[in-house]
Amino acid sequence: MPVGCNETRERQVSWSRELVRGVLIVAAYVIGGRLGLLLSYVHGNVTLVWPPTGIALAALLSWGLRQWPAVALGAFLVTASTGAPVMGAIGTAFSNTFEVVVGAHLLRQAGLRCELDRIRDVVFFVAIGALLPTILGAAIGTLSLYLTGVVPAGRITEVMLVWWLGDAMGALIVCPALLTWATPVSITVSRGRWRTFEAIAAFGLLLAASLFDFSGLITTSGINPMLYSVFPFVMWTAVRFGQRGAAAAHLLLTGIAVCFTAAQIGPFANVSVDLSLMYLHSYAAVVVMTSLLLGAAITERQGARDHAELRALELRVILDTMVDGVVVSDSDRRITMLNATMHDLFGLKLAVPQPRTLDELRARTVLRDTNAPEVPLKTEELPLALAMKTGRPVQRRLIVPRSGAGSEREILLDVLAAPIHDENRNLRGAVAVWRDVSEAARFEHVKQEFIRVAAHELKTPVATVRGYAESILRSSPATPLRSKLEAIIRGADRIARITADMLDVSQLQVGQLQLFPKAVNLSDILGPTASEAAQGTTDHRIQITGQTDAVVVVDEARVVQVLRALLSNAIKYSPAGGDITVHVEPATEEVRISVTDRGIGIPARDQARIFECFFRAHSGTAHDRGGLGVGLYIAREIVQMHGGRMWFETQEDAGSTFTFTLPRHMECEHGAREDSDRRG
Amino acid sequence: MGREKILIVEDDVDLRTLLVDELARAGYDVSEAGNGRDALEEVQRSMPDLILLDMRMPIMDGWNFASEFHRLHDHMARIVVLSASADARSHAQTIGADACLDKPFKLDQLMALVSAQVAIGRAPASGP
Repeated sequence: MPVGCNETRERQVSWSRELVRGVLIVAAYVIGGRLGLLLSYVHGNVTLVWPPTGIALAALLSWGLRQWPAVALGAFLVTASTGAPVMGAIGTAFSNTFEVVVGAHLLRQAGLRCELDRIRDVVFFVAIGALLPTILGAAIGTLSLYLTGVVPAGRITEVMLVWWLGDAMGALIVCPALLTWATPVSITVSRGRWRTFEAIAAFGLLLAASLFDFSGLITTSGINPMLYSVFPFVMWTAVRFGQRGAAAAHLLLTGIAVCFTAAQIGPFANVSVDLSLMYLHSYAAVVVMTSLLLGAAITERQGARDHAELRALELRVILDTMVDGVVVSDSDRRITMLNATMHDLFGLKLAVPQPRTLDELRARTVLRDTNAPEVPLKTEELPLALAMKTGRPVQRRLIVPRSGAGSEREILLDVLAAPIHDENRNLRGAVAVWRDVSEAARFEHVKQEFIRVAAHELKTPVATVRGYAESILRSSPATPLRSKLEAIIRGADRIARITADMLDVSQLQVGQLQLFPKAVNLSDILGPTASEAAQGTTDHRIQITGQTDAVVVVDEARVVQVLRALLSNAIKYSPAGGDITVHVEPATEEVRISVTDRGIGIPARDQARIFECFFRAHSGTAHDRGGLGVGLYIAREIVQMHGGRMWFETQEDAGSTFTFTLPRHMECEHGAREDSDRRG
Repeated sequence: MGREKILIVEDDVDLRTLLVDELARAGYDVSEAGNGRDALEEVQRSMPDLILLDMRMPIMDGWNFASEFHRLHDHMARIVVLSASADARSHAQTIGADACLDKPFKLDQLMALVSAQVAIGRAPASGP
């Protein structure tokens, strides 16, 4: 729904206020009309300029279309006061009301802002507010004058043209002044202490120039060579005082021009009446359009500047209050922005000169990369410089020394830098965000250390418990004691598995899990691992198919761990028993190994998360088989460290197939992991 | 050829006792030490064929013992690392051990490993 100028305010207007407004409109219309009639052209009815059109349009735009009866009454009273027949007065009143209601309605539909502070508002106002509806008004009015015998048939066209121009000029000249001065100003163009003096000077000079031009001082006939001397002052008022200045200026200037011309004085007088009208109207139209368009352009620009300044201010405050350091550099490595947090991170005092280039910033401290901490970074190795060089985002973890309260310590910073490209993909600079991760890193270290020590400390007592149970078992005790000892061993094994898993997860997450690869014939590990898994079940039969004697270069113990995890899951999640198939399929570069069960499958909702660490599918269901939920996570990580892949196919209540690949040759000896894979 | 001599270096008394008992029952000549320094003294007294070495111990740990042992006695005895550490295998490599067994282990596993290592150690000497 298009919202008019004062739509929100209109809803709360009381009847008494509406009435006062109506009376005001009638009074203004009558006074404006009488003034206009002073410049009458035909029988006191058709005038040079018809100010009431502008008054009525402004009133309907500001106070709402429901004020149309006041406009109609005013128009009737004015026309009747000229002694026109009642029917003619009614016809004229109708045409005058019709044109402003149409104009106001169209403008509201177009979403006009009464400040007229956008170029589109000015264009809409001129086209569909002033020029278009007044054509209709003039046609209806002239027709009514013709029908009541006031205007003879031969002069219809001429009267209609003069009527149209008079109404259109009335709307163009008067309405903007009323609208802009009645509407609160949202964007102030001119600021400062001397504003009032400047306004007096500008308008004083404009008045003087107008009087000089139109009072006939220079010449009383023909075009005044100084006619355009007013334009600098019109522009001054528009540029410095926005739309209010522009509207007031053109009201003043055209008012003077109309008055002198009507009095047969000045450059537009002393020619034929038609020519005089043409001069005046074209001149007024140029003045109005120039001043309003200039005023709108200036206000729009000022509004955009205000908006940009406000956003810049907001951004500055946001950047200075955020916990991350932010640095922006242009493509010549000059620093264009450095926020307050960055000062803190680098221990920069606000008083000393700010670093202006990346070189200066780098020189303020010693930056080291955690991956190569021996050598301090050069400027071209800073993430910002790298991002500009590569044209891609760059992430690094840097070490920065910082002198704290009395103690020298180091802080860890995660730096993410990204290049800034313009729309033509030209490099304009780069931005880097620096985050202090010292605390997080310390916490992570403490956590990993705790897991490492706890797991380590658990292993020896578990070895003792298991060893003694096994030792007693070796002395062939009676059956009841035997099964109790076996239970102790199973419990100890379970603790051992959990601690091993915890250690693996911890080491995977800090990228410290090491591989010890060597050439392994798969047949040497598949059989023993399968039989070991089969020992724990009587309901399942494990089959090994395919070309099992393939040789791969892998960490044998880790691959056995992967197989164990897959087989253990296959047994766990096929509670009804059935065949479990391990299939080996060698290719040129890799060997593909799959483990298929005929069990319960993986529910669709869990499939995406099945490889997540600590995720347990079937958790809380009848199929919940316990566990840490790390088996598949560790298995896939191990496979990936070998350069392989792991995936699955599954169907609920039909079973799952987990497949992984192992390369026939491994590229990195110890499976040292890339930085990008490192988990924080 | 006498009984193979095995030195167990482990600070946990319970575990050490278990190992001593089981290996003795299996017919080995077993000696023991609670840390690296005692182990070095024991080695001075009588050179074993095989050393089962824990890594984390008070007074002198497995790393220091291994480097001291190799410095003083070269590879006179084979070393099997018994470790609870997550990176036991890399430790074993670092200190030049001959094998490694993660804790907790099965006794069968241990016995198999011990007899295999002893056999390797005896191999050159068993020639004509």
